Amino acid sequence: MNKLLQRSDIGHRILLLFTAPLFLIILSLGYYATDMQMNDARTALLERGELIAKHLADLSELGLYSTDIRELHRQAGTVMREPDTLHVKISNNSGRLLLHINKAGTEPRADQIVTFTAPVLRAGVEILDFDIESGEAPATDTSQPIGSVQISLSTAAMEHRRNSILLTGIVLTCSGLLLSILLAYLVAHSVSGPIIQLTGIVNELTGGRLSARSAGRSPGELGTLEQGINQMAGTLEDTQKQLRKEVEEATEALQETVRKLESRNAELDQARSDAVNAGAAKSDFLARMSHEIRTPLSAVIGFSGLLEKTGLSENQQEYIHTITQAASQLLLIIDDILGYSRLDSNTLDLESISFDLHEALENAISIFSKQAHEKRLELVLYIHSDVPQYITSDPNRISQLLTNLINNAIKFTNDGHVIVEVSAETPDNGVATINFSVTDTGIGLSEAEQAHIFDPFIQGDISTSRKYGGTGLGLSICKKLADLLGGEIHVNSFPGTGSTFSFTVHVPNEVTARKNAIKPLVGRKVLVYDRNPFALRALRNRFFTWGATVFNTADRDRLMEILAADAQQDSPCELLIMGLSQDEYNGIPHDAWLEDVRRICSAPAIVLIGDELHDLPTCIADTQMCILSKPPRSDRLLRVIRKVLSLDDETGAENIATAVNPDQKKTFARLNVLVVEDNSFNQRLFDQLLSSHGAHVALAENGEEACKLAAHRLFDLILMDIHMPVMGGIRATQLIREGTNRLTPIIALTADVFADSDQYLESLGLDDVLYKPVAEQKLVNILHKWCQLPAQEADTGERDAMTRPAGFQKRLQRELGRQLNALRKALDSGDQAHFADHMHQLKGLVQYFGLTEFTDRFRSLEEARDTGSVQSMQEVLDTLETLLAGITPDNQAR
Amino acid sequence: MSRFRRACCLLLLGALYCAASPRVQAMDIMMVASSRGELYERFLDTIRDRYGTQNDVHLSTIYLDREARTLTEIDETTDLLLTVGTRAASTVAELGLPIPAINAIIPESSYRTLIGSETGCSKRSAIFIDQPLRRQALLASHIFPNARNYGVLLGPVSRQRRVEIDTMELPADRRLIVRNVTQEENTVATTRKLLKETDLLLAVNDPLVLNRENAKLLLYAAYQKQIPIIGFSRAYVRAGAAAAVFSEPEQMAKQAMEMIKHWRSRNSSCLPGPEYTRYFRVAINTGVARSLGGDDKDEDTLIKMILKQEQRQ
Repeated sequence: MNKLLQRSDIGHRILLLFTAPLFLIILSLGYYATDMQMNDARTALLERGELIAKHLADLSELGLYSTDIRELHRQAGTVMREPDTLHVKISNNSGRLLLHINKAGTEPRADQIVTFTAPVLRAGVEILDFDIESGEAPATDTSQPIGSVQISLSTAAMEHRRNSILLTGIVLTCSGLLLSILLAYLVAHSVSGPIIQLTGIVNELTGGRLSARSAGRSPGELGTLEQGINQMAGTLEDTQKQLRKEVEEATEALQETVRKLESRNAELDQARSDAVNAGAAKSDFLARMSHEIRTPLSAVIGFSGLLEKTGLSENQQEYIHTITQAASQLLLIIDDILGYSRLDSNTLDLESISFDLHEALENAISIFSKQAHEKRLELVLYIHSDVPQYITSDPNRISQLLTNLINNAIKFTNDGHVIVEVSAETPDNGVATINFSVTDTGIGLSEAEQAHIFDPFIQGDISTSRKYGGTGLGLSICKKLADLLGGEIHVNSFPGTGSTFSFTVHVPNEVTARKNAIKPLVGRKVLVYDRNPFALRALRNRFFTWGATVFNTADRDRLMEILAADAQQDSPCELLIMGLSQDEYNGIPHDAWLEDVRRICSAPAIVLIGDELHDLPTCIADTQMCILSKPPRSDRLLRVIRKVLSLDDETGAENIATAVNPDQKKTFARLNVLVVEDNSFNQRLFDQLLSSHGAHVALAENGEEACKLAAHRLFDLILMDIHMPVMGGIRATQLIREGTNRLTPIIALTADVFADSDQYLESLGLDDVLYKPVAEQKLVNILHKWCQLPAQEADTGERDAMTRPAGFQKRLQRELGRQLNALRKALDSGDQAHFADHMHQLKGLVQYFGLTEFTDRFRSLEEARDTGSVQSMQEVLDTLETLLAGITPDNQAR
Repeated sequence: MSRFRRACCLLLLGALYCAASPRVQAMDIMMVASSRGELYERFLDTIRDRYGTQNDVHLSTIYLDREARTLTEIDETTDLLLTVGTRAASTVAELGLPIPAINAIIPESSYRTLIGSETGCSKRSAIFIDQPLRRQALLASHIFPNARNYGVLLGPVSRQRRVEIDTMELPADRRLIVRNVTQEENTVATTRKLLKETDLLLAVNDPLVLNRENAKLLLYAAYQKQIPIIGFSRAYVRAGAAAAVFSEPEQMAKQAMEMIKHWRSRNSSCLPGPEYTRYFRVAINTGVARSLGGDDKDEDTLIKMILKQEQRQ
């Protein structure tokens, strides 16, 4: 039924829903009424028959009682006059038929006769109000039968009546059904017609023909619906017209805008293209200019340095010095211009790597120690104890910023000191702030000058610019660098008193597990003296962080008193540190005051003096006294302390010279260096410089020649120029890395602005970069970093890699890691040939560099390979990788 | 007159009154009822209600239906016996007590059987339950003034009323036709014969002539002949008689008390003679009466008319 309804339209549904119940009702009523009437007819006949019989029985009482047949006949005659009565019988109580009357002319069938019998009762009638005997009202007398009457009635009339009832019922029912159908149809049509019409209108509206309207005039709710739909359609049509108009207008405006935008975009594209081209041209120009300017300038400076070492007259010495100074100044100017240009064009990308901040600070200080010494300035590095050892930031930009400020400070300070102070703030928000400040006792700045000091090309006043020279770009570069690092730079200065330039850098607040936890002087009693309070504080803080018990003074007399008192102690001081300015120091052993000190205190002593001659520590034989330049590098100072205190020296760091003559410079004897440089001047320069330090130098004019040389000979260091004809330095480096010298440090020589991040260098196969023009000291530093050999080594041809410089170790570790990765890949892919090849290479490395810890594991790997157990080989590789990861240059250097 | 003298006069007058008045002593009346039936209880209740408030009458009641006794309560202290019902009357009569007895609610025939041929001062009297036949005739004359021939059917019991019938004074221009029915004769047939001769039937209470079995037939036969029947009970009127005169137990009790009063006033041991009920009611079957051509008169009017005629007699 539901499905039928669902498939039908509304008209049929209404018809069905209307007629179905009506049909049921009409049929039910018709059947019920007809059946009831037919039953009533039969019941009426039966009741009538019983009534007639009873009536006759009552009437026959007298006749039967008096046996009056005439009376009985008379009574029966009245009954016979009834049309249905067929016959009457009256019998007495004994069953004897007294009267039988038949209606003549009727011969009905047996099934058309219905007979009724009634007893004739003789019922008494009360004639007394009270029974005279009992005095009670007389009881009801029970009737007694005295006979019976029987009448037979014909059912013909009843049947006829029943038939007519049935026929009437059928006719009425059918009429009712037809009428209900007609009525239902009319109702359904009156309701569904308008709805269907409205449905059509809605479909037309939905299909977009908004002019469709309903013409119906239905009454009531349907009429309201028709009007409503018409109104709605009208509103829709008007709205659509309005919208269409607005859309057309908007489309026109949009098209106009698009045309303008396309035109603008074309202009912008052109401008961008021009800008890119200009930028590229600019970069190319800068690079070319940098190279073109630096290259000859490098030669000028280098050869000037060499010339200076030859026997010259006083005037010639002065001229050469002037040439060197002028060339250095020009170089600085070029560096400033190029640096500012890069920052201004936002072509500088920041690194974010973890690096040793303390080491970077000491490196920056060490660059300027000579300058400071020459100007007899006290250069102090004071690192607060809360400054983390390692931070994640861009070490080169921080170093550049710091060096610029230190350079400025030394440049504009004629006497006094330059103090570099570093502190940290480590709140709990995950970001630490490192505060750097460079304080000098220089010429200072007025407030007006301070307001514009970070603007480009501003350098105080004109007199300052003339007196001190410079491009005026240094501080603007510092500001841009500070902004780039996400920090701020400030200046606080008083004219004639000095200046403090400070900047901040925000770094992630790393866990302090990597803070400097080395406390090598725990329990040691150390006495520190320095006349300069800043230097004294810096020394005291350093020894304090090393775990020592520190006593300090800035007064000589006080020092003598302390030493005298200390000598009486059960546990006198174990180490004496004395920081002396240049005017305090008269040389060992000629300094009388020092002699007095030694007489009182015979503890090991380290003298820190402000001169560049003792950059490498020098110990006086049989005196337990060593001399070191100040400010001392922590690693060097610690090594000297270990030496004087006879502590274990775990590292194979640089030698501590024990010779009295500190001028000995043949430190790089037996060092084989390959110099790849297309410029003949620079070739000669490097040759001379390296040879002067005892190194053996091989020269190549281009990358191709370098590859040929490197294929047949193992070098300790390769200096690779980047831009060369035939084959450039990058390509040559890649080829050399595949050969015998794949572990040899390769240093890029370039005059270009070069990205010097570790990742970038590593990606090119390079280990470091030397910018042209190359200063001798820088070259020496590179040699120290990558090639310093231990003081006494067996000439076995085998070198302990782990005693090599940290840079080399790093290279070796990378190569070991590369071999292990290759072995892992070959094992996973089942490539036995590659596996064997890399095992051979790894074996060579292990044996050549005497990697004893690896030797045993490597043997296990060979055994596993022989058994064919993949799982065993994987386990050994895991062990080797773990071993490799536990070895870092830092761990080995300390 | 002084107060003392006044008082003495009053005393003297009172004494004279008492001396002059006949002595009224308390009377013990023993009522003996045949049963505790409604007819008798209503009679007795009427007596009790009246005499219960009087100090000079002391009533006692004996019911014979449950109390099978020898009526030992009746002793020399009983002044009067008042029987109610035929059984009570015959039981008391069998005792032969010298106590005066009034037999109420007893058919005349039964009473006559009890007293036999007793004459003169009798210590027995009765109030018949029967209605005087004249009363029925008077009623018939008022309702059916056109009916001239009154028929009466007597049976073995009612034959004793022949004297009454013969001596009764009929309304003017009325003739009484009497027929007798014996055991052997068919009452219905005899009645049919009588109906042919009469205009109206006066029914008498005779079990052979009229009983509950044949009453309907007689009524039917009479109705067929258009002959009204004047009965003697409300029940007969309900059954189909045109009208009837009857007495209610309260009326009979009233009459009994009047008889007692009259007897006491005479201060004699002889009781007044038996009587038909003095007081009566009239019942009319208006449907039957109208269909048989009777006059439409209300019952109270008919009673007054009958009483007036009876008093005139």
